[in-house]
Amino acid sequence: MPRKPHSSKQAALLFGALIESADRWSHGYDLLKQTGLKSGTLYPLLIRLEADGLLEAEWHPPVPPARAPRHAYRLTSDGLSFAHAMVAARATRAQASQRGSAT
Amino acid sequence: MKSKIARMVADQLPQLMPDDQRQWGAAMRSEIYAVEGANSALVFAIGCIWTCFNERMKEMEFKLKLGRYAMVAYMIIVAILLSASVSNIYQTHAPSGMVFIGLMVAFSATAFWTILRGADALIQAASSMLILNLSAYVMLQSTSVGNDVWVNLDFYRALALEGIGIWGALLLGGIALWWLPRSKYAQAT
Repeated sequence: MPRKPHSSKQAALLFGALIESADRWSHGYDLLKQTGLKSGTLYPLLIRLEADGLLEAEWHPPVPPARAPRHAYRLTSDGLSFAHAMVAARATRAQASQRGSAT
Repeated sequence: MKSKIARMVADQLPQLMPDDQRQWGAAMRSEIYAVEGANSALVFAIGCIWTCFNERMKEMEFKLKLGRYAMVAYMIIVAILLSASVSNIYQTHAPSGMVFIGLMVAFSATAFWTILRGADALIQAASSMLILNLSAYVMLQSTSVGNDVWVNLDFYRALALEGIGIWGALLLGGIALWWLPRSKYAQAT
């Protein structure tokens, strides 16, 4: 059975970070620090989310000491609903497995 | 030094990404200036290279190119290994040396022919060499020539058998390179 898209543990970490900063734009490095993911994991996730219309990205002018414009990200409204649903589903699964291991 | 390397690597990222994702390469490049610490910058740049490679791997054309050059590299390595032992073998036994020179030339020629003409050339060369190796193996199995002519008959049988394996694998690779762009999978991606 094909895996549900964006259902990995890494995607859940990213969704968590993006939900926290849903009202503002985040940069790639901020998301790396928040999630603890490596750039080789984070950027493919961002690319897929943007391609699926769950994330919007735009260029922001440089703010010193930065010298170059930076790409910034935030969830779209669809993305926000999807992220909440994924995080909730993950929490439910975690609770169910905890109950299962306790019995 | 490490941050200089990281930035040099990062400067290449837009070119390394597939054409329709260049802006993501540029996004990763601009982010490198925000990363704190030389080690972190280098790790970040390596991760970005990995991202570019993965995104490229999703393109059929890139996979085919990679497959083609991997096979070419393999044939060149085999040719180099053979050339390393040719002079010693030739001094010990000239006819055996000639066999090794022939094999070395066959691998080198096939490698360059594959660079020029791609899968068709690989299929042609590998099928010809497969037939040649099969014939040699059959001939060596049925031969009654003594070891005074053939330094070691078993060795030549093993060499022919190995040739069947190597050229058979290259033939399958050539068929895969020929078939993949025509497959349903390629049309879907």
